[in-house]
Amino acid sequence: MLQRFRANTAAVGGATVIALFIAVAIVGPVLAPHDPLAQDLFSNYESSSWAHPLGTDHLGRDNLSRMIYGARVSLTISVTSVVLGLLIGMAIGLVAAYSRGIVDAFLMRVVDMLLAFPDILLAIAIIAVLGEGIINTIIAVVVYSVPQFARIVRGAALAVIETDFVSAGRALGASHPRLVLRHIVPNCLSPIVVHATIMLGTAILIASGLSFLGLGVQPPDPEWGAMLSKGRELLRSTPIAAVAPGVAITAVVLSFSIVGDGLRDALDPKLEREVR
Amino acid sequence: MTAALAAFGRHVARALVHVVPVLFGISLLVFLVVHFIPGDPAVIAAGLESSPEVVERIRTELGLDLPLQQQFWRFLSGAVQGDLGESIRTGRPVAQEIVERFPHTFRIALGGTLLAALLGLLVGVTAAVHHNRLWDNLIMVLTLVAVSTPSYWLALMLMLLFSLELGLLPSIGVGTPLHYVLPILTLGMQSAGLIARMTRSTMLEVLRQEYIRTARAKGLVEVVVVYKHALRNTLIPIVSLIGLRFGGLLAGTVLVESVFAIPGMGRMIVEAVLNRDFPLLQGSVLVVATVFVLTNLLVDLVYGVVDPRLRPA
Repeated sequence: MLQRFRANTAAVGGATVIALFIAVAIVGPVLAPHDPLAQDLFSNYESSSWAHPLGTDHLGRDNLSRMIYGARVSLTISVTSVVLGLLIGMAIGLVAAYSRGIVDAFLMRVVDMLLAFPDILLAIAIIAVLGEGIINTIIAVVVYSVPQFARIVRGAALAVIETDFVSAGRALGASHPRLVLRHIVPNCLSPIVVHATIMLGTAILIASGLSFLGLGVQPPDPEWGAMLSKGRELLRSTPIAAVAPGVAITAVVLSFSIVGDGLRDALDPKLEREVR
Repeated sequence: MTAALAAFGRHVARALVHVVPVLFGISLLVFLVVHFIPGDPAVIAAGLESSPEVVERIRTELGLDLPLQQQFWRFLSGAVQGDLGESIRTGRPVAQEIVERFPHTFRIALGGTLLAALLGLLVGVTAAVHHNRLWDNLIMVLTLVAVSTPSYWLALMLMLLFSLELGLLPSIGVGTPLHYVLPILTLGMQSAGLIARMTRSTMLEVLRQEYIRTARAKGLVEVVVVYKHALRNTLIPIVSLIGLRFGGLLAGTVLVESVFAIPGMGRMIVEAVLNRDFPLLQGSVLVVATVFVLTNLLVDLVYGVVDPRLRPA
């Protein structure tokens, strides 16, 4: 599997960008030339210079340092929300697939309902209820991702439940938790891993979209979407302030998609080459 | 003919049986939004510094003093009759606000969908025809970039290029048809990428079919083979995706309208959240979600007409 993934140049490239992104998020304080929160009102709205390669914002804070710290914020939101969304969605999907009947029908109707709010709308509704901020942004992305995970897990689990080894396990008297955790879950992991990878990028897209609208991460915390929103005020004088965060978001989201696709190909050799 | 009609009737009935509970559910969720809010919704709606009298007036106006099931019934029966309550901020009927703002959003979403469909199909077919060659690889990279680019950033970059640098198009507002060009371009790009990728993969499968080989063996020109024989058979899943995208784009206007300062539904939703104007938020979210569900229903029905195999026997 690893070999197949390695042979995919695009996927390796994407993985490199993600590794870089994670590294920047972790060692950010060492890399950042300035304190991302330090204001200097005498040098606000500065364009690129040696001291401030990406210029300064409306409060004179260094944009490059804020970008570097922004990686940390984005990574935290993305990983936390996807892990939580995955766990909750997986639980719902497994319960639905395993119990069938009325429980399944009920859970899937709820999932349908949540999926009926297109795009960023559900996340916005959640923010309307909870208010802005990092924690609430994470919750909004979790609620956005849960129905998607639930659907994918249910679909994958239904296919596995029908297989002979699950029937055999049942016939041998395996308990329900054992059947689910030992036999069903490991065998429907690949679509889940693929979707989770792509979702890590989508989470950043949603969170930065909320922040751009002023509904996500709040000042003074540095976040790429929020920086973009501020950067548009200087679109004419310092376009780099609006260009850089956008390039960063696109690169990271793109990399997660490419790696997700690469994982799909690597995990499912049947689809390989020919269809690609 | 009657049998076919009866079968179609059953298809419609089945689709409706699926849609009605979903519509009921989204109304319930949208209704409950106000009640999930920590604290007293009347106080939040009135503003934290409001006097107790104002809070009580708002409470009565919103019906928050009634039992929950009665409130929901009021909300639901009102919504069905087109009464979505009044905006807390402007005091005007929410339905009226929506009627005024919806056309802007509709134009952008429709324009974006059409652009995405045309561009996506063209690009997707081109990629499939040049499978694994330079054009294909280039298109695959570009479509992936299109899918991953945040719409609000693309909006700013287009504005920077076409309005600020070249001075060709107006940057914000809605005065003329030209004002819609950049928003439509922004909104359509991501969906164009999705549609192109799907067109490509479906087309690749179809191009491998026997009847395509037959068509080529008959000596048909490649253009006819691709655009008549192959494209027709790839259209069904793609038409469905296009339908789904329309609903998605309707919600996508939330971001795009904010950048281009377009007074549409999307901008209204953001303002409603920032102003804690719950009736306005509930009404507009309900309308967008309902349009989304109904579009999907329509796509489902069209599906049944286009492809008889999908009708239940």
